[in-house]
Amino acid sequence: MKILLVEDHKLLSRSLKQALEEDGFAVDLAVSGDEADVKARGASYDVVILDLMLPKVDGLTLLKGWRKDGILFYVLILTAMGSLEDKVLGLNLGADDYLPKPFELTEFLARVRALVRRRHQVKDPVLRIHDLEIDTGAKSVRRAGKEIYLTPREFSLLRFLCYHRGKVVTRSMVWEHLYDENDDNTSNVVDVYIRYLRNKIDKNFTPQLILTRWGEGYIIKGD
Amino acid sequence: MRSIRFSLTICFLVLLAFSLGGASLMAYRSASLNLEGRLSLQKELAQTTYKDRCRDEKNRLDDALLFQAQTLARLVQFHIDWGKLRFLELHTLGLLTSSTNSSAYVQVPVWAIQGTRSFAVDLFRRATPAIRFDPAELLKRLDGQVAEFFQIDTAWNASYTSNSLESMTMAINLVTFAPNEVLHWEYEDLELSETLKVRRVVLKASRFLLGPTLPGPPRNRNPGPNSGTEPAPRNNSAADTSFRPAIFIQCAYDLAKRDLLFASFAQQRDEDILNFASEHKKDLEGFRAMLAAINLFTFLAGGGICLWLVKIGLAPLNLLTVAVSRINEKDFNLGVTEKQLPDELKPIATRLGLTLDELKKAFDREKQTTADISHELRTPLSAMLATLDLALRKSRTAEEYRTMLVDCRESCANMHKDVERLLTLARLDAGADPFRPELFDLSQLVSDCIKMMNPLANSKGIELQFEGEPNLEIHSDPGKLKEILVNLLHNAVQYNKPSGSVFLRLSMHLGSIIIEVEDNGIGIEASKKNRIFERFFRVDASRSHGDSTNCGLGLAIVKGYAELLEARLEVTSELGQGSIFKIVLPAPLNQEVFATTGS
Repeated sequence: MKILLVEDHKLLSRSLKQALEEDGFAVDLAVSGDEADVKARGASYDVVILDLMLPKVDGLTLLKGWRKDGILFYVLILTAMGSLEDKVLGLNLGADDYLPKPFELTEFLARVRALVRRRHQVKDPVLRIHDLEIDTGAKSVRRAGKEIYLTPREFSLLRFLCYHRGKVVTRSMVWEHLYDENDDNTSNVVDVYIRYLRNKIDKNFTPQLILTRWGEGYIIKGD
Repeated sequence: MRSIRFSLTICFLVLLAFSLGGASLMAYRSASLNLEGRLSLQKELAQTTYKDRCRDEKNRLDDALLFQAQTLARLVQFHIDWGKLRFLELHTLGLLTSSTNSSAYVQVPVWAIQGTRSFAVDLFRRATPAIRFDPAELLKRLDGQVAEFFQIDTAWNASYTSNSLESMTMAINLVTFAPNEVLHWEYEDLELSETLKVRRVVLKASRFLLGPTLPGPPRNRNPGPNSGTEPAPRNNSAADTSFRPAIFIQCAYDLAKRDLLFASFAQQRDEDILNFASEHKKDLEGFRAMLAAINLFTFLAGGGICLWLVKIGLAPLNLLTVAVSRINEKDFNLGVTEKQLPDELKPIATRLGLTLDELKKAFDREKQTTADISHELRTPLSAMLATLDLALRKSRTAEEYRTMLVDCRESCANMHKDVERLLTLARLDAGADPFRPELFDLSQLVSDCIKMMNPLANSKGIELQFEGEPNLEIHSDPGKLKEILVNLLHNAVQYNKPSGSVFLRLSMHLGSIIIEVEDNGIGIEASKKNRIFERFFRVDASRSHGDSTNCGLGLAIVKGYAELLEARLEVTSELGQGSIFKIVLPAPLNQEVFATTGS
């Protein structure tokens, strides 16, 4: 669940980054058009949040270029230009959602989560695996009806695994999607978080949901 | 004002109607005059024809009379009236024998001629008997055309009258007949009675012989009827004229009959004239109808052609109208090129095109400005909202709250500055910010500005230096000048290199006060130099360059204020080397500027 936030206003980008991170997303920042272009083409993001009035290269030009080159991430346009024409133009150029400034933070986060769900082709905001329920909207987790408290990082790891249920998730995938550009890449940080997660989710329950595939990564059961 | 099409059509039709009316009137007048002339000619002709016919008829009748008279003259015979002869017998011995011989009347003339000539003639005169002729022969000779009345008189008092004359006689005025003429005739109208008027011919013919046996001039000397040629009076030799006896033959017809004929001619003539008049009337009516038809057709055709012409003439105007009506706030293009328009409309199209271009630019500027304002205000607003929402999402530490509040306050302060700048510009646009001149110490103002900028400059390691004359008093608006200088100094510091320097110079040249702000910072690209005074324009379009207080309005305000102060603003800049902003305050027109120099 990695997000690229393209916004040149310092305070806004800082606050949005923090909000998204508290929601369990990894966030990279770009403050100008050219920087955004480089980052968007260099890493794989689930969602790009794009301001339109940017230094150097404006947002619509970036969007056109990305769509032309077949880059598939979802784009949420976040701009002060909120007229009907601007919205239609933005959506017609390949944006997936459009949120004019100023906006409510909750709405912003809800839209980002919706885009992430669409990215993983999931309709139900509550992910269910066996007797495990993950409410991505309320950020609550239950196992067999019992509430389990997870840190944001644990939550995002679990959500990531659930979005990829039945498939092997490698450590580098986890790293790529759950950690931003500023995090230190230490070799066993993923394993450490898997262990935390297992302690909370699997320890007192059967069956074990998080399985280890030696030499490959982790997998969460498909049903 | 009515439509041009309508007015033109009406004008044209009125003109057409007047022309047609005038032409028709003239044509009608000339045609009616012609017809009038023709009619009078026809009348004259009818009159002439009538006269000719009358004359011809009269001549024919006269000729017929003469012919009859001549025929009569040839046919007339005389016989001896024995009673008369007996009356004479006592006078002459020779006559005594006549009674003994049954054919004595033949012998007696022979005898008489053998006697004294004058006597013989006298004898004949007296003794010539009554006249006689064969009416059947006359009818035969004249093909039955016998005149109504005739009368034969001789010089020896013998007379014969036609029965039709009854008791009337036609008198002869012998004076008109010269005695030596052999053949002579006169025509005359004669009143026989109160009710009867006749036309007669009096033919005088000489008769030598009263019988076939009488010697005398050869017969061929008698004028006979000569068909085809009118017999002309002929004089014989004068030798025996005194002996020639004459007969007067009168033929006449009733004038009433001729008058009747003439009246029929006159009637014919009058009928002809009436016919001509009615024909004339008919022709005139026909001509009028034709004129009306031609006029109507021409008028309708003219009207049609006029409508067509007007349509063609107004087509370019329609083109322009359609093109103009298609203009809207999204499309400012005039849909026609000048080539499509006639010369008359080209200036309009050109002017319109220019105006539309200006309008489009203004519209775009307005749109851009609105977008810029929205962006400049909404972005910090969003940031504050997002930050506050974030703060309220869950319980945080006091330090976290404090950081967020500080951030919000800073954003708020920046917004306040932007709003103030926008309001300043709005006041400038509205002219609500008047020039408030007063006398003040420019040097003091400049040093105040430098003091104000020092903290920012120091924080960047930039040195602010002032060069120029102290104690310079001028008459201007200190508030606006200060705003200008602060903005320029701020930019000079903001876009400087670390540990660069900024110079502020004050000088006088030809009475003008020159303030220069020079930096050795990043400079401005030549291509962007003309745009730096536009609102919201940023050379690097980036907020990341320094703090976020710069939203691209500072230089716009500088420009607006400089214009208000009537100061000239000049920029020289080189990329990477630095820029010099020069303000030239106008030379004072009066002595209100007190410049004192030196200490």
